[in-house]
Amino acid sequence: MEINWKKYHRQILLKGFGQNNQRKLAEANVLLVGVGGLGCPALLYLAAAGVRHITIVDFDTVELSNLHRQILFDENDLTQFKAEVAAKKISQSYPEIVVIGLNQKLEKQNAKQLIGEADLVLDASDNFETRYLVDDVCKELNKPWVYGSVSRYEFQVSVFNDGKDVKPKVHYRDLFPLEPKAGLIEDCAEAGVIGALAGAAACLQVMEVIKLICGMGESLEGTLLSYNSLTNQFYHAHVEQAIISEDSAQEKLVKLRADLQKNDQQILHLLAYRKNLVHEIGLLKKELQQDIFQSSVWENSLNQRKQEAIQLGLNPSLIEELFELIHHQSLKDQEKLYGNSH
Amino acid sequence: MIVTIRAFGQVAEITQKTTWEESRANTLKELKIILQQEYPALSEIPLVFSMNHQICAEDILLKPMAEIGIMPPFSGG
Repeated sequence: MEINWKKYHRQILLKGFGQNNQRKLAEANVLLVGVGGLGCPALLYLAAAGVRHITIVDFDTVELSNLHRQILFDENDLTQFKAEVAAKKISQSYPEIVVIGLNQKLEKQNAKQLIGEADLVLDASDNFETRYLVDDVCKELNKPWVYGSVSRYEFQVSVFNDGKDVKPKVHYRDLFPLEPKAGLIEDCAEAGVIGALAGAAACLQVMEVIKLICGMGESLEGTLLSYNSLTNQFYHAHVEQAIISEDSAQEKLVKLRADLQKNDQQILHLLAYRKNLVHEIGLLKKELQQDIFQSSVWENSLNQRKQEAIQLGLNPSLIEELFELIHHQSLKDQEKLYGNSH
Repeated sequence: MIVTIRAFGQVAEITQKTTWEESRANTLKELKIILQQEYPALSEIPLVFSMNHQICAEDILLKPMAEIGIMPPFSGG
């Protein structure tokens, strides 16, 4: 079926998007694993964006407690297979889309075929068994996959096994090598979840899918993105290459020496900042007509530094000597600037 | 070394706090052991550690004033 360009005008209009990327979306084949809290909004946005080949795999049926977040379903769908209902509804709303709903669990037996037929996988599953299977089979078949998962008021999103922005490719197993024992990590049924949070995670996942298909922007591969809805904070944790490939002793030495250089440079910058602090303090002392040298304040602070030095495993007399030198220079600077040592 | 901890997901639920300061460890590994002794439930779940937003290996030295993220895997979908 020809693409109705008018329908997608507002995204084609975007600088850097265009008809070419719309065609890529139309030709792409996405496997959606799970059509629950993440899968429902993800499916709606994939379909609306013009992804025309979508396979949904989910073995579950619709329950009343799903409806507050699984926004494709309503009370008329209760007890029916999610994959089937979802596929039917999307076909009605978007007749140009080839959407297949499979009432199956993604398992070793069907994973290779289903993932093999897709260009990429959007994992919206709610269990580790499925997620590790997606990771392993995607690695074997060389397919990228987009991860998303929620925990109470937080979610995580990332991209694995793409290799466009990060080399070598990053896998879920690089972060979490072993599947957690059953029951240790809570799922939504145990911990609870608000639909909008799952929707927010799903929207980020779909954006990653669109970027991967179109080859736009920077993917989240190599970054575990966390979001806390209660504090409004996004947190990026980047995968250091070291956890993927172990450094040799020589490589470690080079890295540690570079760190040492950086550390000493930071000490200089901290001393420069200290000088500025002393300058500002001096101005205020002058305004308040206080003495430049206030022996009890200094002795107090020097004693604190010596205690901290001991705690940090540093030689306290060396620290005392060092700070006396720095302090002496500070006093000289202040005297020079304000000329009122008393 | 003084570092600031940022706890995510179930880590924050186990420790009952999302952020706090720690000064008892010099390496990530020491920090992990100290926290696991204090909160035995942390030993049960896989954890990813980041220092200043870089996920890193456990033998790494803690940098002064670094922010240490502790992330468990999430399950819900």
